[in-house]
Amino acid sequence: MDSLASHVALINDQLARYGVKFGVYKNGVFNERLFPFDSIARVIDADDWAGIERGLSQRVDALNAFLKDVYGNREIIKDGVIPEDFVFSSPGYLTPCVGITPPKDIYSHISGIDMVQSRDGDWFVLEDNLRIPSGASYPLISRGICRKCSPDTFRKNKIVDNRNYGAMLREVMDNVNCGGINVVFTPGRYNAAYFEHAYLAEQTGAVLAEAGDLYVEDERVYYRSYERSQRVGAIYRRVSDEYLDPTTFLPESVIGIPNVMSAYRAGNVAIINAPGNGIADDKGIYYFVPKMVEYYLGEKPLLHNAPTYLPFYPDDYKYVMENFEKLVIKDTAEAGGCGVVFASSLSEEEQKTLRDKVSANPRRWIAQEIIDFTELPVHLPEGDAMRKADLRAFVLTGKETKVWPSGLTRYSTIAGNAIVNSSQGGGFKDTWILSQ
Amino acid sequence: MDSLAINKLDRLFWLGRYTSRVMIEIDILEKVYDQIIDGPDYDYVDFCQKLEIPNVYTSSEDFTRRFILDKEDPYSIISNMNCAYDNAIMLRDTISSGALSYIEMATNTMEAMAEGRITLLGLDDVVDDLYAFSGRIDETLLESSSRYTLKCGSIVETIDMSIRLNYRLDELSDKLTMLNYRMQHMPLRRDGKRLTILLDLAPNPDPVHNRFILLDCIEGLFPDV
Repeated sequence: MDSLASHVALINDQLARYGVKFGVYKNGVFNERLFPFDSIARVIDADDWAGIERGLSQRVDALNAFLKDVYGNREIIKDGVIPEDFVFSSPGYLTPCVGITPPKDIYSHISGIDMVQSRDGDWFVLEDNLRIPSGASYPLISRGICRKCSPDTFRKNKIVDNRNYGAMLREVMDNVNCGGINVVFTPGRYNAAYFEHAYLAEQTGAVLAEAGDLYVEDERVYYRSYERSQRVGAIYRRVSDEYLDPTTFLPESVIGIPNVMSAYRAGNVAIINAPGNGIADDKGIYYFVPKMVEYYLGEKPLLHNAPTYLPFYPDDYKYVMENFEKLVIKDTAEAGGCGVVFASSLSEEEQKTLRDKVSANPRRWIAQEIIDFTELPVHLPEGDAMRKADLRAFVLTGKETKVWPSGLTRYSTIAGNAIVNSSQGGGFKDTWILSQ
Repeated sequence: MDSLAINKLDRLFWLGRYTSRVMIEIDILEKVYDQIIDGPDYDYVDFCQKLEIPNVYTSSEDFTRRFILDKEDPYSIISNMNCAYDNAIMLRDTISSGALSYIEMATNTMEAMAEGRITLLGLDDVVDDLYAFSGRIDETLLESSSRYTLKCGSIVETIDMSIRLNYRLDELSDKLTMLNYRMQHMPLRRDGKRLTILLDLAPNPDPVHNRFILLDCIEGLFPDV
């Protein structure tokens, strides 16, 4: 690892060479930023990983079952496990998706599960990302560069090779392909994760397509190529639900595919991930995921949520109000690290304002106990230091549910800061899974 | 891969054009840069007229500085490099990350020069990267429609600049022949009338007398891009 640490600048130069960037809008202007890479990897030993792997597969299987149920018979609501209002008031619940069965009954093909490890070694799930989870491309491309930079590190340590992500993703696409080519559908180069879209298209052998390249005719999707149009069997879309089809969702969308939902409804194309998944990664629904595991799989959840309270419930509301300053308050309407507030960091007046907001609309908020999650060593310009870091694990559901033996470790560059999102100035590390 | 969308062909063509333009302009400007150190002023007014770009410069020094590195000048070399990048970045799945990386490096070097982090010696690295890009495309972009579309863009720009700026005019006839060869291997629709004129003129293009007709034919040869 020392060899990699001493070459961190060189490795970052190589990442710049390959355009490992993400886009940010500031004051309405688009800028591309390099995503800072720290070459000191997070290391997870084989036993620990085996437990995580089982827990993640279990969790994603339950979430897929929930999505099938909630857009179908709604048994979980009828049985009173999840309150009806909680589902139907969620902006992630899309009525146009009711009654649609996606190919092979798979809704979340690529799930990004955000976890943290507490100082005593336990792992907690902080968030499920079942819409368009991004980030796999970063540890994927950095691994190849690190192996070149320090082959001895990889020769001497039993690190599971993570460079099969493209093949795993291809398998997921092929599994649900309804006949035709696979495409990665991007909103275009001014999307924050454009690098990833293009890179994953290359890695999977899929065609990178954007608005205008795809059209629907007779409930089938076609790719408009120069010599002849080609049928599309699977769309790995990186366009969010509301912009996906202007004839079904936002009519003003110019980055979607008109009528793609009719092709999807007819079973003529797979959409990866399925539209409507937002209901399952709603921050409020997160509270119920352990209950889903028990309800659908009849098993005890192997992975734990961070202790979470829903002010929607009177008992939880009382607890939240009594312990407000000890909790993290999260706005379920926000994403990307925004709307996450450590109440203890607020002034009395700010706390009061936030309390009032929670009281006015309890459904919109969740509160969590602060997990003192582990810090990892980070190589910073001012010297090595310990920083908070999380892990986004990627779970791919094809013929079976598999966990990619790696993940995106994101760290904060600010001491003590628990918000690690790249859009908030954080960097990333590779995640090494040891095979023994 | 046989799935090339029309807009990808368009981008390949313009990627070829912009990379060639950057290389030719660097070649010319490096000579100008040297000339004005201790020699006569450069006739940048004439240069602008020939390229049909607005003359917004105040002196030879101002011209060399801004024409190379001013990102606000849409006709500068750095702007042309950024246009090449804008096209290339949309083609990763077609040209590969390996080939794209040379465009990234050239763009990053231009940026470093613009920010004063490195000197104009970096222009040599830019040219090296663009030659390496071209070689990488030749060796690894096996799908011929894509490869020849890009190379057609490149030769079109070379011919265009050659005529406009009297740049390596002795090679013009060969370049026209090369264009004719490359066109046979790419799918873009071409204007038959203009093509006939170009091929008739190819053995003896005489760009001094035929400047207008040659430029019209080369610029309008591919009506879809």
